[in-house]
Amino acid sequence: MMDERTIYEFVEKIPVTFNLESPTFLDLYFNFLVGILGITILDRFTEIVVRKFMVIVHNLINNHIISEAKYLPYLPTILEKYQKLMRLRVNNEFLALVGTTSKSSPPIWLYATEIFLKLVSHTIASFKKTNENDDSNELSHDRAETQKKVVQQIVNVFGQVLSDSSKAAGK
Amino acid sequence: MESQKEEDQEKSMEVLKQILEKIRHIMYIGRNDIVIESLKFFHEFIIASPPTSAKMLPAIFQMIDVIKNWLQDVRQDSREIKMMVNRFIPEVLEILTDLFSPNKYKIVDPAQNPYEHHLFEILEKVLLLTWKTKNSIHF
Repeated sequence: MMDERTIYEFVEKIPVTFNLESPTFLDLYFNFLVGILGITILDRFTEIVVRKFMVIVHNLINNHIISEAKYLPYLPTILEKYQKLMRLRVNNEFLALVGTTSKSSPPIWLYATEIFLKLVSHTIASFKKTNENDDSNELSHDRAETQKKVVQQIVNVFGQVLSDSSKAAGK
Repeated sequence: MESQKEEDQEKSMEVLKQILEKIRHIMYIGRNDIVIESLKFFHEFIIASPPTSAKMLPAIFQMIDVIKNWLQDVRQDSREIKMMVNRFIPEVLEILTDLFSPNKYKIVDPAQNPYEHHLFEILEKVLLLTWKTKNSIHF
């Protein structure tokens, strides 16, 4: 049988193989990634695909495969999708259909949380570095706005997920 | 002399277009190895001479539409699905690389038409088909 890794490798190598300088292409690529991250998980197989895509997005950002300037406009939507995945813990439909995963791997919401935390720490560090390196001391208005939006969203995601944890703990 | 040459070229292009059209029809109605061989032919067709392909872009992307239909339709029996996943998808991924990688893309599509969406539409279908196949068949 065909090795599924072929497909994931293909997706992961898109920034290297194809032309991400084209804004249309970049837009299509991120819409595709975000689309897969947002699919409704109905069974183990869709869950595996989403897990793979979580890792792909994480690698693209944290391993500097795509520059901050390129991924920043898409970051709010990406974080929104991670939020949805982390909140699967209290999603009754998901729990009824898929439930917890096999004993060998952590539940998808924990997996999403781990990757989300890595993304957040990378993002904050990257913002700090970008702002320090900006000689003009004046970030472009758009970038400053997006950074503010991303930070606000990170705070909101933490709030939502922590409130879910309280619910799950019966508080 | 020059006009004769142009006329000959035009005739050759017409023949090539007809060949591609026939291959497209075979892909629509074919099964098993015929489909894979048609796909390989299509791949060879694209990479053999990108400047020629450039003159036939609409025909090439009509063929891409057939590929999309193929990936969408689960009209085959289990053996055929297995064969398709094993041989069809890697060939399709190679075709996408040859069509959209920047060095070839500019030759195949000098006008840089907005055809890139095909790549992601196909990838989505490939993923869907792979997990559908995994769900429906035990190898």
